[in-house]
Amino acid sequence: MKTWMLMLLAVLVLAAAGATAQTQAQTPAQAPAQTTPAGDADAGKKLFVSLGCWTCHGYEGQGGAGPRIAPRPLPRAAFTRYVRRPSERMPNYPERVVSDEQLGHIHAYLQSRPMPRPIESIPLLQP
Amino acid sequence: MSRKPAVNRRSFLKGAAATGAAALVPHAAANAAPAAAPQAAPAQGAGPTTPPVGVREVDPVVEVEAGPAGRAGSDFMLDVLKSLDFEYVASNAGSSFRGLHESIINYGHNQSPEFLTCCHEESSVAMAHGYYKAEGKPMAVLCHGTVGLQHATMAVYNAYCDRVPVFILAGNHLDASERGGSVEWQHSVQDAAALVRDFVKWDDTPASLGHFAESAVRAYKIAMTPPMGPVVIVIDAHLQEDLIAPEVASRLRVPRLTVATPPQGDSGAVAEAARLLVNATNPVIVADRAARTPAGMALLIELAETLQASVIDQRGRMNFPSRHPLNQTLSRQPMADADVILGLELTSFPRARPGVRLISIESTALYIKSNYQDFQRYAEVDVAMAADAEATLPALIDACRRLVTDDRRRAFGERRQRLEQAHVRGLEAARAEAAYAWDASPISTARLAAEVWAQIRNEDWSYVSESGNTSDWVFRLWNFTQPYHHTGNSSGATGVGYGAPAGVGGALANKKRGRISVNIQSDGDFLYAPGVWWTAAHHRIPLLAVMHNNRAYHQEIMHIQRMASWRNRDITRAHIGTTIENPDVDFARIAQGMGVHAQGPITNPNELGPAIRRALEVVKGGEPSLIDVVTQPR
Repeated sequence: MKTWMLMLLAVLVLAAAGATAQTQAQTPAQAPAQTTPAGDADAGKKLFVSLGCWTCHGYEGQGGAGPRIAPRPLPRAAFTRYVRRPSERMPNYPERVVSDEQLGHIHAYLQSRPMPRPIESIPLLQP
Repeated sequence: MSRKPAVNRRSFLKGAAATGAAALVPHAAANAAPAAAPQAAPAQGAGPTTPPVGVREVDPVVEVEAGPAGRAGSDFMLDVLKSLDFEYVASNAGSSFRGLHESIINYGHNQSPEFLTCCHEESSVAMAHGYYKAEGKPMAVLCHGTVGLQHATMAVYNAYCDRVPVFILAGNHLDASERGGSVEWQHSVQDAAALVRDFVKWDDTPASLGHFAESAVRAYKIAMTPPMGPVVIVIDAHLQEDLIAPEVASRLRVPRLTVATPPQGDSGAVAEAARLLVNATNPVIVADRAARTPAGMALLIELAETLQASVIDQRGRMNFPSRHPLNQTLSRQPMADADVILGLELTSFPRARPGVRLISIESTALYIKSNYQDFQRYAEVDVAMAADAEATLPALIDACRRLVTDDRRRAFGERRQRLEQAHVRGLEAARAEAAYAWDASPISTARLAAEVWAQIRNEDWSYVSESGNTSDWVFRLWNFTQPYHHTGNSSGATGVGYGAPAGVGGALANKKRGRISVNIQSDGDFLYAPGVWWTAAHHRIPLLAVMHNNRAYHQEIMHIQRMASWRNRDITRAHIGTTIENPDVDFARIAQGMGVHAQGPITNPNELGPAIRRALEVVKGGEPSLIDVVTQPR
């Protein structure tokens, strides 16, 4: 085979592999938004505890060793995507450990957490 | 060893048993029954005798008839210790140093040093660690050279990593021909200090009283010269207990102590550092154990304001006021923007972008050992000064001032404005963040910190210890302005178990100043050697301990979660071996059982403020008080 033909083949193979990887990377982000029903906050609370999410984010998702994630977590798709492939120190939670549906419950639980009181109403937090 | 006593330790103990026993009788009992038949002194390991109610260590000494002849060796040892001005000696009693123990309480009238009764040698050393960080001078610790030093080791390592001087006296029975029963053999060792030699700064095993005097003073001087560190002097039981022969007594003297001046950075290196700092666009000062004395904080403020530079306080010492506008500790931005970083006595130099110029001033460069790896990753710095940071700051400030031109001054002014605004934004963000989960149960660590601050902010207070991780809420919400407001974190290497005893030690130092000492006490730390709470009650050490009881070793939970995740295994089992539940520990009852005023467990955040107010009244009355608060994880 000629050298130019080998190079062309390599380019085509790489391009195909890249396209596949791109498709795979996009799938989790798109799938939950299209197919997952609204979560159950009570079920989500139980999962939040049993999976140990609370150890870094607090029982209320207010943050601690990890960042605050409630009451306004990332949008559902981004939330799922991050849990599957987290950055920094957070361990990843694969589908085998927590399904997309279960993540939906956790997401619902986080959204159900109350907004904080206005800071002006808390005397201890005044300068 | 040269020993020619008129009366040796064995015959002295035999002949003086009755006298010794009488000397052990508390004042009231001795007066009540002056002609009582002599009793045998209690054997080591026998159960404690119950003292009459009200008798404390500070009672007047009962004068009894002198022993067979003159002074004991340990009396002279105490003369040496008194010359070093020790206020306290912390100890769990042990037979290998009974001679010195008795000299302290009778010959020395249990004053300067006063004997602190501890329940574990790890507590003794950690108390001395915390005491130094509040008082600025070392505490002595007495322990067995074998089993006592073995208990003490982790606390000694903590002090070593934190560059804190602790003066350890370890008892031993060197002369095998003079050893008694099996216990004295088991409590004897050829080289007692070998156990801790890797993580003490210096040790010696004196062979005579003259040798002890010289080595004790030398050890103190070495311990107090930066980089400071713990030292060990092994004290032979025979040296302590034998009487001093007249020909020896005539030669004994206590050497004069002159503490060495800390090493200052080379003038050329100081000039180069000043040039880099003054010409930098975004200089950052990172301080860990920088403020060695109260003057250190003022010097760091002076340097920061000369340059209008960001300060990141790693809090190994009370380096910088928490609400000074240049304090940027709560922000990541200064390090991201930095083009020159000055590190002052850092445990580990922070990672920086390529091209950032790094300046290091650290006394630890002058004294590094090889076995334990606390020296951290090698830092590729541009200017490395093996010197004491605080001692170098005056020269560095002067050098910077000489280089500041009008142009640079204008740039500094603009930088100051920008940093002030960032500082205010940081404080506002912290308050807003604290409002989340404000009413939650378990109680949020932000609420915990805010409730304590509300009660102490108008007092003369000192934050003497922190164990566990409360997400820095204390530093985000409290206003640290004075050098004594924080005794400093111990070090990155701190093993669990430091917090409670260090808090008690710091509170002891603050006691004479009437200062309110505060400790945020974690549950895991509490459980290591809880006998220190009895010591706090027994010696009436006022300490407000508010628990961060999250019922787990949360740092370890995260490690196990990460391992399970990495290995694609069950992450839900990470609680096994990492939680302190089933049963929940009733910390208040434990503390109460040791004579400490205690409340809790408190789970309702609205009950926390009133509980702290009650505890504060107890502390103001001179006693320790503990509140068990069930908290969020971090």
